[in-house]
Amino acid sequence: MNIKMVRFNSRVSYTLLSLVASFTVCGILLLIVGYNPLSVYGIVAEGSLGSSYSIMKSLAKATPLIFTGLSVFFADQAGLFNIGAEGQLLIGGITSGIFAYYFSTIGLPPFVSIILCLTLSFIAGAVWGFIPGFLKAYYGANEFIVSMMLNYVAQYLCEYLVTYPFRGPGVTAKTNEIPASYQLPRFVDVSQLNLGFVLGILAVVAVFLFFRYTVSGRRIRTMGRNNVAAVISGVNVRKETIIVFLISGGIAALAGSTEVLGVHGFYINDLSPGYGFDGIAVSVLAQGNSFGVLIASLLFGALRSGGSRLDLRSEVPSEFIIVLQAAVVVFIATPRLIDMLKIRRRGSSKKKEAIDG
Amino acid sequence: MADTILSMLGSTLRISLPIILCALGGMFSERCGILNIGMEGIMLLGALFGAIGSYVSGNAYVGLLFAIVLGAVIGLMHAFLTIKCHTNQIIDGVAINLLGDGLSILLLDLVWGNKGKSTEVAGFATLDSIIHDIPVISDLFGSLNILFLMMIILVIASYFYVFRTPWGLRLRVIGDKPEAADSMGINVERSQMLYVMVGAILAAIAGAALSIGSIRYFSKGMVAGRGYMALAALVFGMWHPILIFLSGLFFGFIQALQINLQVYDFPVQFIQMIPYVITIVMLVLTSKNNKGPKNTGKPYIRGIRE
Repeated sequence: MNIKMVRFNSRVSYTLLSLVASFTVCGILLLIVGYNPLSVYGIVAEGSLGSSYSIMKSLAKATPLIFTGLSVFFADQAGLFNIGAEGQLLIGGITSGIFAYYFSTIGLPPFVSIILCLTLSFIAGAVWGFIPGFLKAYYGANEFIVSMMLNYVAQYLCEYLVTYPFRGPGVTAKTNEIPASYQLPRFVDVSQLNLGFVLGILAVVAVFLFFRYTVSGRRIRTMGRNNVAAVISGVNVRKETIIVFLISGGIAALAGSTEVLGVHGFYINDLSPGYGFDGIAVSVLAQGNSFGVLIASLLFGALRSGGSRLDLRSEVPSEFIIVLQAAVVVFIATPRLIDMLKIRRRGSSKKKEAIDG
Repeated sequence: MADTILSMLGSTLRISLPIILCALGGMFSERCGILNIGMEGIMLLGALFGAIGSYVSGNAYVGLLFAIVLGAVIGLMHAFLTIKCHTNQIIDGVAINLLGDGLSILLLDLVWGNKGKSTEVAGFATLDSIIHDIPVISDLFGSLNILFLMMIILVIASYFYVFRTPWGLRLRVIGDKPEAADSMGINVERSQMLYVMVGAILAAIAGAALSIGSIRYFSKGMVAGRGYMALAALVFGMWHPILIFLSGLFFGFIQALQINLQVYDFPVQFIQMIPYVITIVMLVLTSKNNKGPKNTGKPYIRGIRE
């Protein structure tokens, strides 16, 4: 086995161990508060993988996570942190909701309309992402706080747009229903799984190729790995920071766009039950690997779709899944925790510590 | 008019209390070099545990104790992970916020069988009963409670601690140059663990001030970004207790203004946006020439040179 394979294998086994540890810790938590963890996990597994319908549901739930995860991942490659995916998603969603309906009223061909909507959403999200990027690059404003505040601003802005100027008919505030032919086509009528999933995979491939084969991608990665080296080799860090936030915001907006165009057919308040924050967990789990984003999204999508069954079939609220995500983030981000477990198991703690110093 | 202004100033004081307490906690954490983005989640869980303690005992002080214990536990967790295991401080903070989101609803459902909101629980008595005969004073301070007095004492005590005692000097050295602190014989890791826990406890008390201090119930997501606002107040207050107090008052005032503006016939969403937009503006205005503790965000590893 060559060295790359060894590294890859240890990465995979480490990830699996982290996942097992997270499920165990959360299982213990369930036991403490008086639930049976095995039956809870059983319901989640059945709800996410039990039938072809639930598998499709898991893939559908994974779709927005691919985009938000990819968005956070993209910024992470530059050593930046985009916690604003949630707001960018909403902005992308409302853009698609408004324009798809408008394009259908002026009789644009559906195919053109869908492409235009995706593009416009990307641009709108990029503009939303531009704000923290610009403020970070030129004013040194902490991008977490700015992005987080912008999430709230986006939420209220979209709430205003959908409540007053662009409200469609009906009791609940939502935009006009987009005609079926102007929506992203579904694979099967009964499932929410739609073309957005394929777009997500394409986006992952595109980001992979971007970082692997383009100069710009290389520059961004250099910046993420060693800021000083990047500056010395002539990277304009300010400019790159803004570019990264533009693209990252645009990708996150596609999550909202595909949700509106593919799942709902209109924009509605509470479009996202925290997909933007799931994106952070996805990016952490991906550990710097573009295709890891895809796999992590599938896992968290499955958990989300299985978790929604908890509300129906058990006493445990579906929000348990968020706790599980938090545990996964902690274990993946803390290699030392797993090392400690391993050392215990081998019973050679002293030797190992002596080597580590 | 005068009544409106008085009541607005009164609500400014009430609303700024949790922001100031949380920012003060953030100050201890960041001054010793450890970022804690998880303030929002700690506040949320502090609010919940405050309500639970108050609910099971019927006594708000027990609720406060619950919140303090919760803060200490989460603080210890964050400290252990970031200081001993060198977990990325931001990512661990994000994990704490996720934990807060999920666990608060899980426990809310477990205790009250409702995923939205708890029943009414015992809260702290307001000062109104003592001072309601004094006209202006009662309007200003009537809706406040013992936690507000505690906060004032804490702000002043923190100022003296950080800038006038040897321990405070050591704290500042740890945040700026941990190697120097280490060579002075200070146990850097142990001090950091302690201050991170203090910070988390203050954030948890800030959360309890929301649930059992003013409205006497817990509701889902009730912190609504105040933890992040506190972090902004910390930057705006230049990691200095007195300035944090003043910037916290300012953020409280903006919130009070926002609530008072809602009566006008204007889309409420734009008014609700105000505090968040102002936070961004303040951050932009103060960030450029404002450098906090120099070594915040990086783990201190003995013997490694930059």
